[in-house]
Amino acid sequence: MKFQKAHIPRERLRSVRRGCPRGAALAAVALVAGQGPVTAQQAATLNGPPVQVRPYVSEPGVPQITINPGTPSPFPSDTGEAGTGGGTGGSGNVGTSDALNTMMGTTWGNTAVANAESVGVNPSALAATCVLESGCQNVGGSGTVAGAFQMTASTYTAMINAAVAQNPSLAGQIVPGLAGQMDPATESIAASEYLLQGAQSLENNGVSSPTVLDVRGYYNFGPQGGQQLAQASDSEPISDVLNMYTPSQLAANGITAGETVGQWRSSVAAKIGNAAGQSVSS
Amino acid sequence: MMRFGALLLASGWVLTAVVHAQGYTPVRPVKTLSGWQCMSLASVYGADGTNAPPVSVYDGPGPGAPRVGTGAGVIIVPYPIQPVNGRVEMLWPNGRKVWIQADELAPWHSLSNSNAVCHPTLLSNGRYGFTTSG
Repeated sequence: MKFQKAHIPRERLRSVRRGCPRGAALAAVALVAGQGPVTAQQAATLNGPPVQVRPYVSEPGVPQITINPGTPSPFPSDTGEAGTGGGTGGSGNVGTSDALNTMMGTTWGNTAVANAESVGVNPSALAATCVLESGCQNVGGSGTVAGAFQMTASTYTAMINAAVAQNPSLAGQIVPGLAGQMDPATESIAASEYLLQGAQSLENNGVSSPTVLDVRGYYNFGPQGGQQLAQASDSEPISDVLNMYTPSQLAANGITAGETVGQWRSSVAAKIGNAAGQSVSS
Repeated sequence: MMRFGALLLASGWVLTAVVHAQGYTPVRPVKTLSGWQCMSLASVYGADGTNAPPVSVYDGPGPGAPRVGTGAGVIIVPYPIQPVNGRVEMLWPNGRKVWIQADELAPWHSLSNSNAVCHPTLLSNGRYGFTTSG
């Protein structure tokens, strides 16, 4: 629900305060607030992520705070940041994100969110994938790679089939065949399934509550590489962490000499913001 | 007093927002684990090793012990290894001890850096992982 508040210009308030006693000033404020183009609270249909507070008046003595849409609330009752690896199972730590705002800005964003939830994936994790892969644009790629989630034809086919097998009700809303790869809403189902399998792979290997960043490693480097990245500290050279790659294989995969795990994580997190530390499972 | 409270709240809010904006909490080594060593699945050093499938791990060394998951990545096992019924104990990243077939394992080494040595390590995110030197 969207609320619109009456905006009383600050300069107008000051002139009222200077000329009147406090009680009269309050009465004047009430009078002013009751006149003019005041909009009463109006119900509106929610379309996109919830409206968030944007402070526009600074308070003397209080530092300026800028809150961007998508910034999680710091309060404990809201969604939080990355969980740690201890403990077993469980989910949580899901919610809004900058990446989700980007995906929700597309015509297919709402459908993709519903698809992620039906598969059991945090919508922010799905959104982070399209941000990283294509900027959430429905584009072609090299070879058989295509679509907003840039999946290969073989992976897309395997994942869409797996998703429909687990949830047959999805069959009625997909574009059949490989044409679905270029339909972002349909490809979002396959991408969600792929994320789910990545998270499950890491969980099966003893990595509790894998984050979006953890599963990104699985996406880029497969089950072995994803597991190794999830077990590494930031200071490690990727060439040592991915110990089964030869120097030429590392170069072919875009790993530069001396690049560390922390640099790789930072570059991914810089693109997807606060989604990086969230859980993949919803 | 109220203004001080507001300032405190605002400062906390800003700090929290900065952490969230970064997207992840940096991971650093906390403690090297003595009495443990790094190994890998032998299959990762073979043809198509980067796509080597994980192997099964079990709740115990006995043949009837249930399968509880898989082993992949860096396999942390005791030093020296002490197989029981052909299986060795393994430390999962979440701290759980499971058992894996000893003949699935090979000493850890890096194909891109022959001097690298792997050390089992407790990380700041609570996971049992590794660091390297050399």
